[in-house]
Amino acid sequence: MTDPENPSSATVETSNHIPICAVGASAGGVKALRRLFHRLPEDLGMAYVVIVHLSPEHPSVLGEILAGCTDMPVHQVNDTPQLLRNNVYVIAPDQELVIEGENIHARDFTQPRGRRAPVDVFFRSVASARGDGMAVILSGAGDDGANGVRAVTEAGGVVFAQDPSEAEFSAMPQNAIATGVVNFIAPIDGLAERIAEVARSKEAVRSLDMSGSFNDLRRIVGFLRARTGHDFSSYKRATVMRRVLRRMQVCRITNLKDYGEYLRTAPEEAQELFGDLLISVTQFFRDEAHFQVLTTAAIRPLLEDCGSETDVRIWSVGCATGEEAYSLAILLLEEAERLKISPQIQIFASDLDEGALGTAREGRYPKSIAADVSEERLERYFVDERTHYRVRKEVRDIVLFASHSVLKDPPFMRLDLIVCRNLLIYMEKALQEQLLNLFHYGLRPNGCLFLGSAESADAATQFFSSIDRDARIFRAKTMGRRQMPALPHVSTEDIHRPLHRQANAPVDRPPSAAEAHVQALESTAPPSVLVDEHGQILHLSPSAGRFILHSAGTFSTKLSDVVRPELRLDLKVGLDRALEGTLPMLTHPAQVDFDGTFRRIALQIARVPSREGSMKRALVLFLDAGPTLSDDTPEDDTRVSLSDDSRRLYAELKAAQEALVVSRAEHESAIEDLRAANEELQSINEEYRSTSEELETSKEELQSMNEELQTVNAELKSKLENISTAHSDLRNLTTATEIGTLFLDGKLRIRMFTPPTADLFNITDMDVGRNITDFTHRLRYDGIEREARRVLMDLTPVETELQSQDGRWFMMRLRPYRTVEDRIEGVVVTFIDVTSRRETERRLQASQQEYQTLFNSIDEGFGVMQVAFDGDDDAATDCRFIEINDAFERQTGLRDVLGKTLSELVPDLEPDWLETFGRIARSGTPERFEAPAAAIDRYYEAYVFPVGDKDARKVGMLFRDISDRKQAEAHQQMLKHELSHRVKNTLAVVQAIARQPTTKGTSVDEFRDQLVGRIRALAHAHDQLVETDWQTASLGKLVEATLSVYGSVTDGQFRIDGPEIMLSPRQALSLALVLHELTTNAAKYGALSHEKGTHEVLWNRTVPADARRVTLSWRERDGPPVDGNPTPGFGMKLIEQAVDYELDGSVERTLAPEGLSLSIAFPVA
Amino acid sequence: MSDSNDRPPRILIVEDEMILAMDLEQILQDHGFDVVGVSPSVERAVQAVTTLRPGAATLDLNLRGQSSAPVADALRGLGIPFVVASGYTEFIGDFDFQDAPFVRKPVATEELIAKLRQVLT
Repeated sequence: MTDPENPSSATVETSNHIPICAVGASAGGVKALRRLFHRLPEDLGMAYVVIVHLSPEHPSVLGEILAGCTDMPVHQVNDTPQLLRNNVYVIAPDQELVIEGENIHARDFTQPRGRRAPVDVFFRSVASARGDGMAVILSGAGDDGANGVRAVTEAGGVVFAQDPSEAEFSAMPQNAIATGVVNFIAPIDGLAERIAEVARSKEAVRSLDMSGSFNDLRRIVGFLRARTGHDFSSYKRATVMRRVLRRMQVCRITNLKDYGEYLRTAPEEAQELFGDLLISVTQFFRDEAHFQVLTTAAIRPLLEDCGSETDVRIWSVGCATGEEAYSLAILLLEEAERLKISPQIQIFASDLDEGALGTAREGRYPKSIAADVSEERLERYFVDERTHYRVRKEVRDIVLFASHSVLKDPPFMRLDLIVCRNLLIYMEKALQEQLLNLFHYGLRPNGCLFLGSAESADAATQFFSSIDRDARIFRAKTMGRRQMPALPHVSTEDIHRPLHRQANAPVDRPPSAAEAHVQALESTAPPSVLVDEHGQILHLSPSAGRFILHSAGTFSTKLSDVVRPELRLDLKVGLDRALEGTLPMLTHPAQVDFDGTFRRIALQIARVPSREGSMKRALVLFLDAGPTLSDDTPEDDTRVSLSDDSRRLYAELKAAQEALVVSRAEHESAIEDLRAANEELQSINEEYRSTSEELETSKEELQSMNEELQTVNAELKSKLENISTAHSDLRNLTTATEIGTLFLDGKLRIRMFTPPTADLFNITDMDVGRNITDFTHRLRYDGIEREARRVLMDLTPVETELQSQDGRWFMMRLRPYRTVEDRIEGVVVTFIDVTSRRETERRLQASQQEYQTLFNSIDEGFGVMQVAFDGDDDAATDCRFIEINDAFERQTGLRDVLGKTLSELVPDLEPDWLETFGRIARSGTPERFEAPAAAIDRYYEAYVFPVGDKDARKVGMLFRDISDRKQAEAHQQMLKHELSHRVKNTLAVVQAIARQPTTKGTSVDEFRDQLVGRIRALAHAHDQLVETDWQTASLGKLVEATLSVYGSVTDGQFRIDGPEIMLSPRQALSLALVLHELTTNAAKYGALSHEKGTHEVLWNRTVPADARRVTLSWRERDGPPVDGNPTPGFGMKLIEQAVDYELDGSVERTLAPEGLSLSIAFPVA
Repeated sequence: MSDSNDRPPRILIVEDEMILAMDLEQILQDHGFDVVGVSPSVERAVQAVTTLRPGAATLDLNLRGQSSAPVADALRGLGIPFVVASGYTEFIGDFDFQDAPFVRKPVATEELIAKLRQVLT
């Protein structure tokens, strides 16, 4: 029942106020502000409010500064001035600004220093006090303003931000932009233009013919429903209009029709508008006092009742970015902790805006929330992530965010508390009632409802009773089981149903008597309408219909919307006044056009006492004052009786008075301006002075910083030089050593290498950074990777020799790469070419082998000795064998000689050996000598020579065992003596023989023969002895040789027999003489002198008496007769003497007639 | 040739060479000495010295390969003078004959008699 002729009340609201352009800035902002105001036209019709962060201790000169940039009046706000168009208001130090109605109010900060956010505060205040407005964020640090711009956007304002790339400090614009609600981002110059454009389009929009635009708006909402599926038709038109107008300003379109077209042609605009419509602003603990009441009145009893068993279910409707849901969660957790219970808490938070829900689920909020959240709560329920705060997981866990349309989707059930703040205000009353019905359905009996500060549950008093009216907390009334109410947007019919119900309700109530009275009054009394406190029509008198003229659009029951347009304003004012007070009032008659006939209609509005008390009602009477008289103005009517002169004088006086007033005002304003200018100039001067001082200080600081920088620079330079030197040293080192070096990192990638390595691994400079295992190397070795990994693991160097494919040999070393800080950052592999060394080694080995062979194959003993001395002048004390050959041990018979000393080996060696060694070691002159070594029973010929230089005290000795030769020499000497002795002895014997007395009468010839025979016998014996080397003589041979002089031994005259008996030389010589004497005697006188004589010589060992005695028997037979017993001659004496003397034996002689018998017994060996 | 006034001096011949011993005995007897014994070995000579108690002795240095030092000691022990007769040109060995008169073999008769007389006085 909307009156098509009535413009929306929402637009009236905007048109009455002076639009506000709020400018927030901080660091670097003064420059930006000056530029901005320099650029802004002065006739945009807005009031500018500049909010900056000021030091509380210092007076500000910002006002004076800005006054120099613009012709608009600039005021520093210290109290509560009224806002004026084209005026600039500047924040004062240590104050924050809020809008109060038509005034701007400066008040003390509510937050402690450090957590103040004056930009946010003011923006929010603009948003809540004004439906629209502009917010401008300029250069600054921090994130003040970011929350505020959301509020401004939500309220329908337009947000501007300085391009962060231009801003001296980009954080504030960036944070604002990050909220996603900034409409224009531009450099200052561009911003000024945009602000001007938007202001002008706002002006244009303001002057729109709202009644004509209603259809356009409906079309827009219809189109939006088709495009997005969401119906905003039952949202308050003012709200929708405000958002649409905002979009129009942003798009710089000046009428709704054009915007409707634009919406159709630009697909993204529908989404933009949709997003704008959904925008809602929330903050942590918004209306904190209300939250406190909520805690004590609702949450605490709830938790106390439920204990730990049942769960607590809460629904936050229209949660937007989640601040409210988290606030609830925090309150619940705190309360549960206080009561020491841990109930299951489930908070459902729903919204249509998926983007906002995403933010809510993340739980990340800018630092500026510190203004809304206490420090303890921040500490307990948030994690400080430096650039922002994040809600802790325990809090996030109990909040479930869901995309849910409260109008379309079935509600959550069995709830203990529903929080729906600042949603109902956007909705028409009917829709509000429907929603409240729905909430009641979703709530448990006695469940609570928490609404926004401008909302109430009065639209559904049958469902809710209030707990705390100020805090907007209501309790669901207990009712029987109910059916779920129809969802508001499920069908279009449903929308209006509750309205009908409500409209019908009062009609049913009055009793019939009253009705009769009313009917009676109706016939005589002027037409009237009964309305409730909201201006809704309750009842019309029969003839009241002609004063009603419904405008095009949705049906409205509000009287002020449907009454004839000429009466609307008066009615509105009158109704408000009548309902506020108790006095009835009568309006001035207004001219009303009834189909061409103009009648003067006055309204009488009186409050009607209602029976229920709380529900106020009013009766509106339409009083017809008859038709309009003529075209004359009422003024003319009243002054018609005055004379012309007086009338002229009156007019002149009035004109003069007016002129006076005007000129006085002008004068005052001029003086004021001058005063302000003067003050500003003084302040600017002050500012300049302090700036100059600051500059001076800055300059000094810069100088000292410059000096510091120079020092640092010099240091860096010298470091760089060192590094450069080190680098070239390193390069020269690697080149000079020709050692192939390869640096690998921890993953065996090449870091650096030297030219020799390049050939081995086929790598070039391009390959730095690649893995070494990617390359085929030219080594006959496959373990490099394995070894490198082992080195990395064990950190012990590895060394190995390996051969390359071209035959060269390399010593490869792998060592861990240790940085100066002793970290292991890879492996260093070095390759040293050892080919020539190996060749030398091989040759040396061969030569050594040859030498060793030679050394060991010579027969002479060889040894090298280290001679030890007691002191410089003393004799050698000992010497140690440090090298010997194989022959050494052969020549000495010593074992394990090497390493031992002479005194250890042969303790009692003749001391002259050591003396000789010492002498030679000192003098360096070799010596050759022969010397005995009695201790080892040897005799040596030795050649001792120095080895190495004199200080080495080393001598070599080449020696040969000559013991055998020495023995032979001694033997020879002995033989010589013996021979001499024997020859002399023999000659003495010969002398003695020759001196023997002869038998008387012996001639010289006989004597000679005798002598010669005896000498010959001795010679025979000698012959025998010579045969056996003068050792032994055979008895048999001796006998044969002696007898053979006188005939053949074999001719039968002789019989010689006996075993082989060996005689000593002495025995042989004696026996030879004995046998000779016997033989010569036998030849002269015995058997041999006769032809038939026989001779027997027999010998044998004396058995058994003594095996070592021999008995030799001599028997002559058949010789010439023996005469008696002749005296024995010299011969016999010789025999006896010889047997006794020489043989130690005995002789027995028997001279028998048949011949001589002789028996000689003597010992043999 | 013997000294008629005195009893002839009693001489022990220590000589291993039988013929030389017989020669010496003859020579000494011819010069009026009383040869009381002839000993060819060290053992028999030492025995003869103690039992016969000769007035003097002739001593060969080498008796059948043995040194005649024990005999010399025995003689000295009893204060019996002796003359050394040897085929060696000089003393060998380590015992002390230095104070004894020395006759080289083959023996010159006069030299031997003179030295023997000399030791006996």
